[in-house]
Amino acid sequence: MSTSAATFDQTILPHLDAAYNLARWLIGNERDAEDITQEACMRAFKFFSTFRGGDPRAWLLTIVRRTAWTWLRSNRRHEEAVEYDEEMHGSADTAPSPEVSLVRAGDVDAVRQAIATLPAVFREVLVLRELEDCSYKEIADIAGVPIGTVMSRLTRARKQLQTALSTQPQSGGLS
Amino acid sequence: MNCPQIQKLIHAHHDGELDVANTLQVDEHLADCPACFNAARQLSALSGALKDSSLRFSASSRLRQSISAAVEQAEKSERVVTTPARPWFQYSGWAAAAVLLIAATLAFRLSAVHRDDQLLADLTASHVRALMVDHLTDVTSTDQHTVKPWFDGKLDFAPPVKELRESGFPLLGGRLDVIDGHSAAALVYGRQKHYLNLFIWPTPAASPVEPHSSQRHGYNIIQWSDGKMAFSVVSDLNETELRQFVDLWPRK
Repeated sequence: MSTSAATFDQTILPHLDAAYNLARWLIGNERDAEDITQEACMRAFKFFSTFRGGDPRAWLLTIVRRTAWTWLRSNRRHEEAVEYDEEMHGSADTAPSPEVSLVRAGDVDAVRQAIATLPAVFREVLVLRELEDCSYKEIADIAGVPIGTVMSRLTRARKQLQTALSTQPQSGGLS
Repeated sequence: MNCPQIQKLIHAHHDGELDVANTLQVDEHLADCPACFNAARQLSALSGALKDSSLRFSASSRLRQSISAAVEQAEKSERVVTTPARPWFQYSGWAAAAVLLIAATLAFRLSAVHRDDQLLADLTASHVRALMVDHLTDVTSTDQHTVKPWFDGKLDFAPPVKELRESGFPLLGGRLDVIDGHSAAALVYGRQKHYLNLFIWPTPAASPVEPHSSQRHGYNIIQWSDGKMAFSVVSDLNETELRQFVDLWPRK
């Protein structure tokens, strides 16, 4: 293996799980998410010479995100593909959040389903924050939005998730 | 701060993104206010639930291998073969010089052929890849005044962008690509059900090059240069119509 492929393997590929995780949550199915991840990695490799140090994970995730959004748009998922408009949707509401039953929160399948029902812009911040442990600044860089937008999206995402978790029918035998 | 203000901040507080002064204010408030304390507790419960490792998808080893292999393949095809002249003939000055000259000429020709070949392979691969993964355009617009400014700041040159709808080749959008190791603008045009990828990049050759056609894996490729920019159009469209497209571009 030559140097640049080897450097790429060592620098970028350790973050393949993060890349795939983001693609998988944005795209929603395994096959397309794998295609998106592979395409994003190939683009990353092509543009690897332009990578000027910094955080390789954030750099890769930026490319994955852009590739995934292009896919979402070209697949005409209208409700998904419209980038969230803060003006249109108003500022984050401050109504008290519904009570999440701790049993339901512990039900991983219910949580997984609830995340999947969120709009893509919300899934994105939630996945980056909660699953990838990115800082607000990193999320802002990856998604190309101001930190204030990251904060308001995250607040709304969590609120919607709480709502979804408190209204979903119980999957256990208690109902 | 009042409760609505606090409840806005508890997310940043929870995520450790608040400065010290605000953190203290939120802490003080939470100690006194059961409603906000409850909201913060809810937030922790939710966050805790999301920390479950089974929610995080991992790349399969198949995907990992596939990417590694593709990267290695891409690396190989990008490398340009430079044939080093080996010093196995060191017996006589003139003979050595003659052999060297021949070898150098051959190597130059070979590498030139290889480069052309490589460029065609690169162009076709980019065209096919864009179609395969459904990623033709980074900027989707039929308006040249949208597509052209989109490239600003993404490339160190300004590619000419033309809307050719009236001539039967509507502009569909553009994207960034890399051809032959250089950044290139890719403009996407349509022709009935066919797609045309027009790759444009600055060329070091100063004199214009007339259009010449080639075929690769069933795709037609026409390359030319106006002396400043190199143009290459790739499509499954027949050569005659592809020529019509090429004739719409000025060649100084």
